[in-house]
Amino acid sequence: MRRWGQAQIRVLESVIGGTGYGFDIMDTTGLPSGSVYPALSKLEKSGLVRSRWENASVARREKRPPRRYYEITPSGREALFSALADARDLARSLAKAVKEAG
Amino acid sequence: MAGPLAKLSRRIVALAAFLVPAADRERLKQEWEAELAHRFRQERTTLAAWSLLRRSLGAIPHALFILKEQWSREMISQDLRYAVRSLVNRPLFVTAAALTLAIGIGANAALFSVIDAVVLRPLPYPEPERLVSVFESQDDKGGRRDSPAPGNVLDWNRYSKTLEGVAAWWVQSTTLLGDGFDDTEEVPSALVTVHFFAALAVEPLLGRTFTPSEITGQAKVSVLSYELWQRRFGADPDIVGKDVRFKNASWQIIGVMPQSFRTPGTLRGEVQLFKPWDLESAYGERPNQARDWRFLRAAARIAPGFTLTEARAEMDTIAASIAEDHPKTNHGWGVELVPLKDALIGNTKLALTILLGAVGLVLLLACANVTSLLLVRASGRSREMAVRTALGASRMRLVRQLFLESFLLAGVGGALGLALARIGVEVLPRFAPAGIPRIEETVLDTRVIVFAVLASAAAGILAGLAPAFQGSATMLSETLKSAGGTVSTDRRRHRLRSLIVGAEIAAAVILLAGSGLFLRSFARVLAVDPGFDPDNLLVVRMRLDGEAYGGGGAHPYYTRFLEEIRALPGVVAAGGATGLPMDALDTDFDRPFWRAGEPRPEGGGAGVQIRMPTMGYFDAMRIPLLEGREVDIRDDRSRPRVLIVNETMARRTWPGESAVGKRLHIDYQDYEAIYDVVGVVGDTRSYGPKSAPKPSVYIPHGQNAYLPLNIVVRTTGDPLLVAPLIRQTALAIDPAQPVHSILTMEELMGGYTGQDRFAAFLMTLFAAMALLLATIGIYGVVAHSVSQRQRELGLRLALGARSTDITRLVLGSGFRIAAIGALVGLAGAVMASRYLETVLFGISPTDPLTLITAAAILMGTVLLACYLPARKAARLDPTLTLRYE
Repeated sequence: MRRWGQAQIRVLESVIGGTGYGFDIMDTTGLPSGSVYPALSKLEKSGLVRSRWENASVARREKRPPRRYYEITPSGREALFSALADARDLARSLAKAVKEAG
Repeated sequence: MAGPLAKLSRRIVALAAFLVPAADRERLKQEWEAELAHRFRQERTTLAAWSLLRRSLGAIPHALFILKEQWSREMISQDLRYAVRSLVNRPLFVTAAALTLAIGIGANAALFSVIDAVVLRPLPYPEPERLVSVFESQDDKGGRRDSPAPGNVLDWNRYSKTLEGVAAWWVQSTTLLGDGFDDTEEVPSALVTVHFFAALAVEPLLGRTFTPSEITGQAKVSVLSYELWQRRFGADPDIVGKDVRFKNASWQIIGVMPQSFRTPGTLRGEVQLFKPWDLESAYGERPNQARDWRFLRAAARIAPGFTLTEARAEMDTIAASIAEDHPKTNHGWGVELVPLKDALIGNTKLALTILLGAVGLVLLLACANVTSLLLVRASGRSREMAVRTALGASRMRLVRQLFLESFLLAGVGGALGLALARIGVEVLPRFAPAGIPRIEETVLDTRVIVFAVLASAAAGILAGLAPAFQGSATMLSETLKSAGGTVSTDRRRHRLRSLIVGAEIAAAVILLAGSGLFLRSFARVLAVDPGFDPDNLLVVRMRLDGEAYGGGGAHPYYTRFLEEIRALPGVVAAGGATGLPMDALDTDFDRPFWRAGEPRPEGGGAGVQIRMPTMGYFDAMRIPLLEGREVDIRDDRSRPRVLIVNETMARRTWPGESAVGKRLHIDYQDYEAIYDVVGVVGDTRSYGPKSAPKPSVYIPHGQNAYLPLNIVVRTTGDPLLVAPLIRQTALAIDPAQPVHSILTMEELMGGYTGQDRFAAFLMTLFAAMALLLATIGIYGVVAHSVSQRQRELGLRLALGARSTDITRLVLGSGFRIAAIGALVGLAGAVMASRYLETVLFGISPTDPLTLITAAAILMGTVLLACYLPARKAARLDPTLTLRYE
């Protein structure tokens, strides 16, 4: 099982609802720019997200530069769910341990 | 506010983009730059602009991430393989570059090993920084260090709290008797006081050292050196408790010192036997002699909790109170504490540091030449670099690639250099003079290897720096379109190489000037008239055994021995004296003196050097007799005491008068005895060529016989041919009294001139290396520029330039570089001159003739080196060069 960075989970979470571009992801996650981009690159390299450059005409129409959009892949979705499940398990066992400790 | 911040953020993104491979560069830029610009336009508040700027910093980790991916993907090993392949394909280039570096690194490592042994490594005693040498010094002698007197040493030990105990010792000679005839030998031995082994704090290898009661009781016990134990006693593990046989007694061996042990100020293994010595019983009953017979060697350990400054302050107080109690012997005398290492190394440290600086310059020159080679190579590879850039290699990648190559070269050079250093470590100490302490400990060990590795790494970086950044800077389209390198980068490279070569020439001038100064200084040292004729002179050192020859036996023995020597074939003359001029073995002493009818000066005043010559000594040495008479057969104990004085003594004591017939008091034999001056002889250089002759008196050996004597034998041919005959003569007179040692006067004088010779030799060697490297450097630059300018030169020839014009043009280009370099070098030599001041003799470190000669030699060599490419250029065939594309 690969080890998950906080940043990667939150970046994945932020793109699960649809697509996003770098600065957008920074805005929604509140992560510093220094962790968002490496996280995106890492996720893309392991096939959990994929990216595409948007159509230049769309950007022109909206008077802004073309953006590189990232979206989650099926395996990314799966990985995110299992990671979240792991986190839930961990949280549950922690809670139990806390309760038992009194 | 947003404007400058936006600009700054663009810069940051550009920097990030520079880091990644060209293939990824555009995408990275696009992802960051456009969006940032867009947002900067939208944001109105400064605060928002600042936070955008902070966000733009994220481009750097992004770029680093991409780079990391790239590096781990392509692996360093791939680059390494590529670097190895690209070097293996050019064996000539690799050989030239690696050999150049090998010479530089090898010379540095070899000299470092010497410096490490002599200067850097701590002395072989525990906590050596707490050890000090103890001297006495007289204020009005300009602080010349003198040996301490026994009575003063006893007082220091009585009163000092800052010193753990002042150890004193005296090196003499002992005859060891064997069972047979052959194994009787003279060995250097030391009488040591109770604090000796305690202060040096070295544990014996076997047994123990002397106990205080053995010292005060003058017990017949001895400690052996490791060498004597090995050599004479076959490393017998049960040696402790056995006996060593001297002339009239057998002494018990109680211990053996380890191999690393050395008596301070002597070579390792020089002192072979230690005997206990109690200053109190030896000098307690002779209070006058005890305080002003200054002849001991002394050292002490500073007690824990005290500093050197505190110890010095305390000893000053103690010396002052001793001087108050004993003004006759101690007025004006102080104590000087010198850290033991400084006392042992002295001036050698500065000379070696200068040499290390010189050899460091040689390595820099070697690096510069390799840089130059790499730059030439880079201009031949600009297409390769352009292609790699076009295929997506980042600038970093190319820089890394080129650095790997220079590191590989430095690695090969370093390995070869260590092999050279291995030879150097064997050879250097053999060339070194006897005067350099600890030099026999020079080894090629881990420290030297670490030094060589560091030097190689530094050389790799230094040599590779310019080529790596120059070589990786490519102008893509231009390079790919043109056939060779581009004009502008080539010109830049040429300028860089010229600059480097100019610096090389400057360094070479500095080294040549240094070598010239050392050589001329050495010549001045050799040119000093020693006051006698050193050619065809043999020196025979004798030390008669005190038990057998004390009490009047020495003079008859030497008279007979000298007579038999004079009768030997090939011997012209022979005589002896207790001390010889130019002898680094300092056996002399000074005593107070005053003219008859005057009072004795307080504290002794300036002393006069005393030596005891036999009959025939001045004749054998060819020291001229200026007035009066020589030592005579009649000069024995039954007659009034007579003196022969040297010229300086005569001039200073009786200015404008004849010394012969005058009378002089010397506080020496029978306190304040009076002497008649019967002769005046020429001055000799007692303390080597660098110190002026000092006032000396000669007391005939017959009136004051000494057990040790230095016999000088003047021969018709090679003096060493007579040596075996002299050894046989000695054994024929007394089988138990061998000759101590025999050497030529030339060897003896080497003790004083050796350091100058060594420094001059090494400096010249380094200067020659520098000259060679600089010449190769400038040849390379000029030759390469000629080959690059073939078309231009061909065009000039076609348009009517004569071949002499072309020669002049090419020579001029080399000359300009050399002239500027030489000027800078001269300025550097002048600036460095103050470090040379104290190591040079009889010549100013800014001596104009030497400096100009150095520059002239260099310019001449440079012009010769440039002449080859110039001639080639002048013989170009214009039709061929113009047709060639």
